[in-house]
Amino acid sequence: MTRPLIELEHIARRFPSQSGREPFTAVRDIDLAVDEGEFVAVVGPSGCGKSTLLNMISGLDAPTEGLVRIDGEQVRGSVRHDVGYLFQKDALLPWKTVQANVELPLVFRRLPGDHAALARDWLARVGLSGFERNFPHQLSGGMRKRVALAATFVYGPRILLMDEPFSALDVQTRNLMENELLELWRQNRKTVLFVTHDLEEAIALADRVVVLTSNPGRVKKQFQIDLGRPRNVNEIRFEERFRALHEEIWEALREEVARSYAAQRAHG
Amino acid sequence: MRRSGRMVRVRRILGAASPWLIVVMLLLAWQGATDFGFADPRYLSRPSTVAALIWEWVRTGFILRHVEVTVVEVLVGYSAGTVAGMLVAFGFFFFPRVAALCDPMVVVLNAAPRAILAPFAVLLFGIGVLSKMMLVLLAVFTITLLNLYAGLKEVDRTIVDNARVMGAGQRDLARHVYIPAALVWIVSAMRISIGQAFTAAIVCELLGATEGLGWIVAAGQSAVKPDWIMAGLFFAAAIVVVVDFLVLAPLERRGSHWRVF
Repeated sequence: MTRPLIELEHIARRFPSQSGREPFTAVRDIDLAVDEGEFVAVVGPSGCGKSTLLNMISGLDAPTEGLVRIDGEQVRGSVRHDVGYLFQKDALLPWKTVQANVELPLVFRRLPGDHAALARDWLARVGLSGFERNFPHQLSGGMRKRVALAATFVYGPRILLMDEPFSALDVQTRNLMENELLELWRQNRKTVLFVTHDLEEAIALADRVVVLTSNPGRVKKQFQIDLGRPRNVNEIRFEERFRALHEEIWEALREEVARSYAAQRAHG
Repeated sequence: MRRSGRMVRVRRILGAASPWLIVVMLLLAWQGATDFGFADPRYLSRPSTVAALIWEWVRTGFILRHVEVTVVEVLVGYSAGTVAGMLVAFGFFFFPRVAALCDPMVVVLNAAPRAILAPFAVLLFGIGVLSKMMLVLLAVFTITLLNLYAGLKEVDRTIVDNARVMGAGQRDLARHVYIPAALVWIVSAMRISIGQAFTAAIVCELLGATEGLGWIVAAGQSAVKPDWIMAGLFFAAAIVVVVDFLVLAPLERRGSHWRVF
């Protein structure tokens, strides 16, 4: 048995709160292992610490308790260089062209080679040839996500962390992007940890779905998604097995969503 | 169709011209009030007298020297103040502990009416241009510092995190993220502070100077020549408007297109 690529052991993350109240616990007691090349989706109600989880794996944030290991090596204090991170919000530099944005990680990493050609190549792969000299604000939301995708794939990270990357897009664009992501993943076989609050998206994309509890987030249950590949997210939703899985996982998720909703209402 | 098109055009021109019409009407009212004895032109002067004086000063070149003095004071103080404000803002941003130590000082510097320091500046640096430059510097420095520091703290967290994951170190962040983001704030601070810079220079000239626009105004006051005061103010306002219109506003427009996120 080979060792998982990403290992989380008894992770807890607490944030000090202002005005001397109890610290806020975002996640606690999280144990999770992700194998190399696996596509894992994490679902949970809003505010259950999904983003916190990704931040700790990337090294942007550190757990209060527990260990994060990547490839057997503990992550602490510094940002991992073999990780790509796709954020929910736009993170492109608005003052740089599309081409320059995609070249940027190569510049930061001081990688050898023809940066311009590599960036152009990845822009072509996400269908953005001809937009190299545009600025982000001149593109649609979906196109900006493609640029972000190209800027992540261009430096070849082993692990892809995705934080509700498509949630701000309209449904059609979103399905298109999901299919493109699956295709890129099929070609490159990155290890993907995909956070979403959309259960359908999670099932359609992933090999495994992890359900987190409402705040503080813990792993409630995990489900193996035994749907064939390659998949088309538009069509897979109508399959018998998809529906069965959806029902089964929703059973686990529903309670947590209800609890989180009640807590949010109580806090006004 | 054609007719309504013309109507629209007339209306648009009227719409654009109406702020100027108000100015013209105010000037006419002023002229009328002094012509027909409702107001005393000895204290209020009148537009025709002021206009004649402005023309006279331009024709003889009398005003040139004074405009030059004030502009040089502002230019030096403004440049130095902007640069100093930028440096300190970046210093505060990258060394938050220093910022915490200096915070009360900056608050006082910003909240206290800086004109109060004018007599002190004259006392310290004399009635020459140096005292004016120092006062301008202080005003511009404070505005630049506060604007830029607030702007730097507001740089989108996601953009910074994204750059860090992509491999950016502190120096890369400064060069590719913070400095470009800061440019927008620097330009907007420059726009705000140009008016303040002229105010500072003129206030200081009012207090003690031998030339400059503020000196003209002060001289007009002590000799009871309201037309001198008005004409002096006219030149001060004209310079600010020209600088803003020709330099700062276009600069800000160029930079602002990337603030749409």
